[in-house]
Formats: sequence, structure tokens, C-alpha cells
Amino acid sequence: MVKNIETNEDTSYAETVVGPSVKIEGDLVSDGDIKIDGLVNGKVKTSKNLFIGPSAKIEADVQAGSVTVAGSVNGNVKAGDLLVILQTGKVIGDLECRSVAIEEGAYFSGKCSMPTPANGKAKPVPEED
Amino acid sequence: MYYYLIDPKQYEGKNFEFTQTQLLSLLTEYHVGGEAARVTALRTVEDLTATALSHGTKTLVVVGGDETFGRVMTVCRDKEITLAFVALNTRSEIAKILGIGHGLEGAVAAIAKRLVETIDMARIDNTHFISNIYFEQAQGCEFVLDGSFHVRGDFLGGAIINMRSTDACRSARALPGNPKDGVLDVAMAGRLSRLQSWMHRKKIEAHCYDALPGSSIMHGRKIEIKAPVGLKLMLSGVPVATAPAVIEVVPEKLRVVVGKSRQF
Repeated sequence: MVKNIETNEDTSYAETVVGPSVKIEGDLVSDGDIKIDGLVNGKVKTSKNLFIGPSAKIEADVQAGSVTVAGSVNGNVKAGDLLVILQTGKVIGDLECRSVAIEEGAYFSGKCSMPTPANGKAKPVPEED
Repeated sequence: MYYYLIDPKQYEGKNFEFTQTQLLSLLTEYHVGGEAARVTALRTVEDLTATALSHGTKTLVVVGGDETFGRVMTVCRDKEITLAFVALNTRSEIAKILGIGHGLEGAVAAIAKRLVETIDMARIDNTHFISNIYFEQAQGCEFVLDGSFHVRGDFLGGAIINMRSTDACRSARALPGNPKDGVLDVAMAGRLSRLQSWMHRKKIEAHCYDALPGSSIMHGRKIEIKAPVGLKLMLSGVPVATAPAVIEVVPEKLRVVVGKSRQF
């Protein structure tokens, strides 16, 4: 677990933005980046980046190229690449991703599965100076 | 062959005859002259458009306002014709978006240069438009995007955008309103505090809801606005429909003459 994760995601250019005043029911599918700050009762799917803001609440499975969770997700999260759960993030469900980062203070309850690296060994963690 | 459909009702100045003479003179100067017809009480925009089509017109130039252009577009939607536009008032958003400007000479020069783009049209009930539809103060608003998900909320306002003038809508976010992408952009803003409303009053007046804090942006080909029943849907300041209504994109349907400074 890490204390602070610096995310370089600039969510101001997200193609689809679900604001805090919005509630969505149904599957939200997009080809571009998605930023969610509202309530979603349905699957969220994109091949690109997904940012789940601190005020967001998602009640279904989530699938994206890379996922950053700062809000609440009640469902499985699948990321093609990186999955980050920030301090304010809460995930109740299974994670599936290539790499994962969970910040101190985040809540996660579920299983986490990752593909085995090509050489069969996990990447060594570099020592801190 | 050019056909000029002139709608004097949209003229905002005092001396229309002088402006028309000036226009006809410019058409001769730029070698883009053609048949010209004026809208009257007996010869409506639709009648004159039908006449232009029956004459085998290749380029129909709408001289009037956004409303005139919309009415012509509705009649021409399935026809092999290129539209051009000369704005007779400074309110015209279409002139800004197409990069033609509000001056007569600039518009005639754009027609002479003949830079043509094929763009998407959108339809609400039986009205076709190329700009955007907006609504204000929607309590308990509900709409369905592409039949796949329902969106609910209380909104300060919202806009369904095919394209729009970007002058007042500059924001950090990527601007919606590309009329060549085959989708409509839906921008909505939630309620703001009094201070925020005052701070962002210009954006609210210009219906740039995506530039407001806490706004939402979504995209779809078909938007069904279901509630609140009776919600007024406006096009260029004129109510064109009330909820429930369906707004759909008609991709790459319109050939239109544009200027160099077009906003897409």
C-alpha cells in the first residue's frame, strides 16, 4: 500500500462527463475517456481512461483501459492496464488488471487477479532511498 | 446555377431596399449572379425553395436569418443541392459557425470561393437544424440516449449540440459541437449557487452549459427527452418543440458553403 499516488490524469478533457447532479440508469458505453461524478446504476465500459470522482457512486461492473477510483464502486472492476484506488476510493468487488495501486486509506473488499508476467516472475519492487 | 432566396423579414436594419441593391451589385462583381426571389406573404420560404428545386438549382443561397435557413434545410434535406448563407442580421449563429460572418461582402466572397463541406443535420420532430437546441430550468428532467441509458436530474439548463459558435463557450474542456462526427453532444449543468450563477452569467446567457462547474457531457445519435412534460426546447431563441420530443442526427446530409474561419 502506498501513501500518496500521483495521478497524471487530466480529466478536464474527458469526452463523456457525468456531473454530480446526474443519475444514470443503464449501460454507459463510450469510445473515449469517461469521468463520473454522479450516480450510475449500470455497467460502464470504455477502451480508454475512466476516472471515478470522489462524489461518484457506481452500482455495477466497470471495464476500461485504465481506471482511477476516487469514489464508490459496488461491482467488479476490470482494467486493461493500470487500476488505481485513491484514498477516498471504495471498491466492493473483484479487481482484474495488469497493474494495481492502492493508496493508504482506500477501501477494497474482494479478490484481485492479474496476468502472470511473461518470464513467470513478478516484477521486483525497487527499494526506497 | 445560383438561386437567391431573400427573406426581408429577417433584416434588422432600416433600409432593406438599399441592402438588397448592394447585395445584387456584389453578386455581379463576384460573378455569382443568379435568379433572385423575395419571400412575401403569398410566396413562403417553402414555396420558393420548391421553385428553386424545380428549376434545377445547384446552389441555393439563403439570404435571411437562422430561421429561414432552417426552413430551407427542412425542404432540401433529401435533395442534391448545395446551400449557402448570407445573414441579414447580427443575431445569426449559423453565419458565425460557418465562418461567413455578418457582412454582405464577406458572405458573397465566401460564395465565390465555393469552399463546400458536408455536415451532419439534426432533426427535432419535423424541424431540421444544424446548430443546437437548448432548454432552461428543467426540474425532474429525464432523457434517454440511444435507447441504452436513462439520464435523470435537475438542471439549470442543457443543450443538444450539432454545432455552435465557440466565441462565448471557451472552456478548459474539449469543445463539443463537431458537425462531422455523426453524433450529437448533450451538455447539461446542475444548479449553481447565487455567486456561481453571477460569476458564470455570460456562459449561462450563451447557453454554454458544458463550461459551467459540475456540468455533464454525453454523446448520442438519438436523444429522447421524456420529462418534464411541456419543457420548451429552443432553437436560436425560438421555441420549436416541447417535451416529450425526439432529437436525432442525420449524418453527412447537408452540403454547405463555408468560409475560411468556420468553427469546425
